[in-house]
Amino acid sequence: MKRDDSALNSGDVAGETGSVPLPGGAEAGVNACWKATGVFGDGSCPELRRVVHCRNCPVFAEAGASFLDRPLPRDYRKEWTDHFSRSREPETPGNVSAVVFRILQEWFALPTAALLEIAELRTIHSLPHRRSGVVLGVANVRGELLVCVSLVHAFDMRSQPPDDARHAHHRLLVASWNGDRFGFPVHDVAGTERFQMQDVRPPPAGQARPEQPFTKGLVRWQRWSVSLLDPDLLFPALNERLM
Amino acid sequence: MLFVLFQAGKDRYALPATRVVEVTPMVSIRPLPLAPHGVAGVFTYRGRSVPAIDMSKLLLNTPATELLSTRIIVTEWRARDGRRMLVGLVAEHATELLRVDAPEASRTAAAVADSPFLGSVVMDAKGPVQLLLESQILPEPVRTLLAENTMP
Repeated sequence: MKRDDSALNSGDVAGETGSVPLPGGAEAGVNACWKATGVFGDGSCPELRRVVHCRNCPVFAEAGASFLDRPLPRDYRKEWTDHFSRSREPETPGNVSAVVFRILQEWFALPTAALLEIAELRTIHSLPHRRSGVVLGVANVRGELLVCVSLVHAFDMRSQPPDDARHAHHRLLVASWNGDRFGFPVHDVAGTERFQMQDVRPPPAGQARPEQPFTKGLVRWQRWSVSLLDPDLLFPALNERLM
Repeated sequence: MLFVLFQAGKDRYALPATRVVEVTPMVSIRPLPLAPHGVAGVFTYRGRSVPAIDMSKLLLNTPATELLSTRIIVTEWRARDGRRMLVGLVAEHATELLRVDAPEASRTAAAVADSPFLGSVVMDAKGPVQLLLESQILPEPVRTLLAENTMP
């Protein structure tokens, strides 16, 4: 569902005074204690001893929920009335939802059935005796150790120039298939798209791509040719590399 | 059991999530002349004409304030003849879910025919929440209206 971004667009959401600008200039009296005595302030709030971080505190949660306690923006109702009055389009069978991501200069898609989450890229601790190769090491994801794998290695892309784009776009794709969980550092995540299986084609003859053994084929997306990965082929192969 | 929470005035209520088809933002509702108490009118939902009940009007006799947190909880019920009916409940502060473990709810339970603990009150961190009975949401006059107006 679309988020209402009007508060964000009108400047700092909870300004230094702790009040919240509303569309039309009216202000709600939200006491932004997290900016004063909380983790975003001087840390003097006594509740921190109990909740550790403001995001665990009911006061923070209530303030967040209270953002919705304001009048409907102009045109909001009309837009949504139009949206919900339309019949929902039936899903065409034979299509697959996949998350589209980039590694170096190539685009790939992983079916969302295999996707657990798209997480911030974080420190990957290398394993002893395994400092090079497909296995990068382990990372802490939600308190659990996740084995991270280099798709640059797995897809034999090491000869390509390194990614010099903004690191802000780098992510860790957490994926799972038949009980095998891996983290894949990627250079950019475009989002989830639906592809029709009939649009997935094998690569043109003579242009075999290194990741081909792990894909269902190529599919056109915007101006790119995206390799649609097949978890049934990729995950067992990665598992073998772990041994 | 999972519930969708909402408020009427300062009172908090809960609706079983199994009844909920979708929660939509406030859309335009066309008034129905001579509608029973609490019925706000009808709105178009996914190509169908669905009646809307204003829960604040029904439970407190004051119309719901139209804030971003006021939503329409589209719910599904069975008519007496077995037909599936959709009803939109205009509900204030429909922004949270509540999970209640069956043993906890039955501590304050009053045995009711279709569910062991609907109609009772549960407590959460913020205070009491009234679990609504079907008969409280769809009193007889409203049921009759629905039976007449529901498209098959």
